[in-house]
Formats: sequence, structure tokens, C-alpha cells
Amino acid sequence: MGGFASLFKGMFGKKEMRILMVGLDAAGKTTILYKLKLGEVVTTIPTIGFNVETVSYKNISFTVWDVGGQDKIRPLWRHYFQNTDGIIFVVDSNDRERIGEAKDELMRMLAEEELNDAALLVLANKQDLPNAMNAAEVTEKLGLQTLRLRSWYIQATCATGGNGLYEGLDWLSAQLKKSK
Amino acid sequence: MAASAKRKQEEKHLKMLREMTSLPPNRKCFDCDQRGPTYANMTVGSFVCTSCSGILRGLNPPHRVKSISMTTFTQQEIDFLQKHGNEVCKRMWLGLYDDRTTSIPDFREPQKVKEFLQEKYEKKRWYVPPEQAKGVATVHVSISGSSNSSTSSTPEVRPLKSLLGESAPSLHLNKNTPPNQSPVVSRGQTHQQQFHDKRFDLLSDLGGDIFAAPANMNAGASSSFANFAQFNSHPTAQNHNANADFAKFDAFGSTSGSTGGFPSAAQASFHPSNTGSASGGLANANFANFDSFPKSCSADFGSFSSSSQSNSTGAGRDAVQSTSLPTDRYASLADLDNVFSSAITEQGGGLPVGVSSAAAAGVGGLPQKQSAVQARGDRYAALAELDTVFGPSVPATSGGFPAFGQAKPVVTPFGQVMAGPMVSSNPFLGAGPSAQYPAGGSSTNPFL
Repeated sequence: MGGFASLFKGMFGKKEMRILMVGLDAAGKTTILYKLKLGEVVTTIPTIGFNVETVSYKNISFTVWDVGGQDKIRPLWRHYFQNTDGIIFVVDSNDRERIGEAKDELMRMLAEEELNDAALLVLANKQDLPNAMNAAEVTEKLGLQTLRLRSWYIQATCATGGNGLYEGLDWLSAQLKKSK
Repeated sequence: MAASAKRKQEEKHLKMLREMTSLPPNRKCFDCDQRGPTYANMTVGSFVCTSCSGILRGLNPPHRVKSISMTTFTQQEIDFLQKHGNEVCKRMWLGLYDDRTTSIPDFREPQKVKEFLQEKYEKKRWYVPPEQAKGVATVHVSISGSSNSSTSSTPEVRPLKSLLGESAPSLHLNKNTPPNQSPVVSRGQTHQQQFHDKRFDLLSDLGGDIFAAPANMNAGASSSFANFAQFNSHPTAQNHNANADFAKFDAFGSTSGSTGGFPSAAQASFHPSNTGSASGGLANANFANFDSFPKSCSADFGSFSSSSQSNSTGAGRDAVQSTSLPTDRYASLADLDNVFSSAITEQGGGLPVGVSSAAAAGVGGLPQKQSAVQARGDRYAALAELDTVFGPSVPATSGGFPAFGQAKPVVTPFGQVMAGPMVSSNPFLGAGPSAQYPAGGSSTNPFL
């Protein structure tokens, strides 16, 4: 009975995926995390350090590390790189001024060896704002086409409405199945 | 090389930021009054707390907030913050705010704060464009007056407006007149000037009626000056009245002084309460009152004057006890230091010494007074005048001594504020001159 249960679990049980969620400050990382976790829009404060939650979706347990994005604490991101299966890079699509800064941070991070095998999901967040760049524009501004040897995907989202979030997780879970 | 230059620049910016956040209006969160802002709102140029920074990023359109310690600032951003800051922002974003007609939200409830900030920034309910906000006082009056008449004109609003209209121009006049004409005038000016600086905080933090109170108090202070003019002629008879008046005056000084530059009059008033009183507990009570002044302005004045009087009546006996309890005295000084930390630190070293030696003088009584005279020969004439003032009570033994204690609270602040005779009439000044007059060179006292 016990042996059968463990076998059953191995075949159909929950898989785990370690996700690192980063991006510039005020991109909406924490709002996304708690929207996924609680299904609610919470008022967040700028993250100092990190938040971590497990989110179950489609029989996958995502452990999502949401790390603060203010510029002086960005060097801390690298401490979370180890064993990361997927990176969620959140972009404030409304912030045209800092999209270049976002690109720099993304490229710097992807150059790290520890992240060679990690899938990249870009969330073009804050699509509800009138001046938001669409996914194509964000793709171009971030230079995603130039990426080689990296599986990446961009998803337009609105964290407060929840739009696009689960589509993003769908892609990530597909990547997990592909790699295993 | 480039990296070190960049670091240097960053350090410079951080230092400038720290300086900005130490300015009195920037010491509180612009949006909820919480002490010690940790974020800068780069959209409007204010300094806010962490939780308000969170709310601000969620507004529509979102505000850009930057942590003071966890982000780097560009030169433009520093310039922007220097041009704005909480005071300028208040004129703009709360330019029409009148807490007589608008209830202050409960800042402990995040939802209330959020709604308040939505009104403030999204609906721009109290917004005054910067061009108009620059001509602070007059514009403020005219605009708020007109908007009140259109939106909600309650009968109580009118007197406030008329009062504001009267006081604002006169304050400008005072500010423009050159200082240091005479000690009395310049002291009065500093107070009014500080009052002018503080005016906006008082107006919107505490409401119109409380704003009116300091204005009256100002008048009260000047009337107590008038009393002091008579002080020389009827010193003993006036003692009690003057004491009460002074309590008011000092209290007023401390309220306005909380903006930063602490008036020396208020400092001086602590010497009597330390030297002349009593147990540390009583002195503490005084400090506590001072601490609470900014919040509950007028309510405590009575209590302050009464406590200082109760100190002074028992001073003769209590002064003796005080030597046996030096720790109490220091404890109260520590409190004093906490309450007025910024102002007191300048003389931090000298203060305890001065107080304890003055207390010793109090214990010693008359013989000590003699030595004080010898120590400061140039004061001799002035002290001689003291003998005439307190002539009847001084020769008496311990029974007469309380008279000194009683006079002291009056005299010391007075000496600092006004002119010579008051200085000289305090026998305890001689014991610790350096501590009593730390600001000797720049003091308004002609005897220094």
C-alpha cells in the first residue's frame, strides 16, 4: 500500500520548481507573488530583502522567491541564483524611462553561469496603464531577440487584475516538463 | 578612478539627503506624519515613510518612490528634492487643505491613508499650482477663502481666515526689519520669525483654532514684556505675575523653537527648574510638559506655570536635598537632553556642570553668594542691585531663602531674554557662568 502510494506520487504527484522573480523596483513583483498566492491585490511596501511563497498550479509546486529591486540591493540577487529552474523578470511596461536600466540588469544577470539552465519568463506588467508598452515593444527594448541558448517567453500582464499571470506559469511548467 | 569618483558623488548625495531629511518639515512623513521618513517621493519631491511609499506606488498614475538608503540618486534628483521637500509640497498638495472642514484621516488604518492619498494626488482635491503656491501666505488666504465660500462655508471658517489675513502680513514685516536693534526687539523678532517658519505646520497639522492660539500667545508674550518694564520698580510685588507670564513666554518659545533653532530663553528657563527645584521628578514633569506642547499647544501652559511655581516655593529646602541626590538631577538632565536633543547638544558638556555648581551655590546659601561676587568682579555692581531688590529677604536665614528660589525661575529666563538687572539679580549665575551663558558672544545679553 505504502509502496504503491509512493509510486503513484512519483508518477502523478506534485513536481517542484524553484523560481526567482526579479526586476527593477516598483515593477510589481510582490503584487504578482501575492496575487498568485492569495488571489488578492495587496498593498505592498517596497521589498527589503525578499518574500518567498509556494504556489501550486497544475500539480506543480512553484517556490517563488521575490527579491527586492532597488538599485543598491540588486547585487544581492546573485545569492538566489543557485538551483533556479526559472527566472521571472518583471518589467513595468509603463516606465519607458527605465526600460534601458531594466535591460542592463537583465543582461548582466543572464551572463551569470549559475543561471545557464534557467528558463526566462518576462512579464510585461502594468498593461492596464494607458501609456504601457505592449509585449512586442518590451521585447524589442529589452533586446530579447538577441538571446542565444536561452528559452524565453514574454507575457503581457496586469498583476492587479491577474491577467496573464497563469499564462506565464503555463509556459514555465511546460519548460519543466521539457527539461525533465 | 571613475568608480571612486562615482562613489564620492554618491556619498555627497547621501550626505545632502541626510541634511534634507533633518530639516524639521522633512522629519515627518509628508503623507501620514509618521516620524523619520525613509523614502523620497520623486514624483512630487516629498519625504515619506515606508508604508506610504507603498501606497504611493499603487496610485494611478503611480508615484515613483526611492529609498533614501537603498537607491542611488542623480544630481537632478537631488536638485529636485532640494527645490521641493515637504514644506513646498504642503503648499502645493495641501494648499487648500483645511482640517476644520476636512476631517484628518486615521493614519493607523492603511485603507484610510490610501483614500486620503487618492484624494490628495489622484483627485488633486487640495492642490494649488506651484505658481500660486509660491506667494505663500496671501495666496493661501485668498484661494482657500474663495474655495471655502463655494464648497463649504461654515461660520467658524470666517474668523480663522480673517485672523490669518491679519497675522500673515505683520509677520512678513517683522522678518524684513533688521535684527539686533536692541536685545529685546531682536529676541521678540526671533520668536516671531520662528513662529512664521512654523506657521504652516501649525496651520495644517493642528488646525485653525490652534493656529489662532499661538497668535494670541504671541500677544501674551509681548504683554509680559511690558510687565518686565515695570519689574525694576516693583520687583517683589510683581514676582508672581511675572512668573506666570514667563511660563507662558517660555512655553511659547519652546513651541516655535521645536522647528530647530532653540531659543535661548527656553534653555535658560531650564536652569531654574533644575537648580531651584526639587526632586528630579518635578523637573521631569516640566520637561514632559514641554515635550507635549507641540501637540496640545495651549492646554498645558497653566500646568507648566503652576509646576514651576510649586518648585520655587519649596526651593529653599529642596535645594539642600538635591546635593544628596545628584543622580536624580542627572536623570532629569538626561530627559532634558532627550527632549531637546538637537538644541542642547551644543552645550551638552557644560550644562550638567553648570547646574550642579549652581545647585551647590543654592545649598551654600549666602556665603556662596559672596564668593560668586568675588569670582565675577564686573558683576559686583549688578549684584549690589540684587541686594537692594532682595534686601528684606536676604538677611533672613533659611526662612528668607525661598524668596530666592521664587525669584529664580523668573529671573534667569528674563536675564537671557531681556536686559541686565534681571541677570544680576540671580545670585546663582556667578557660580557657573560658562554653563549658564554658553552662547556668550552671540547672546543678546549686553552684560556678556
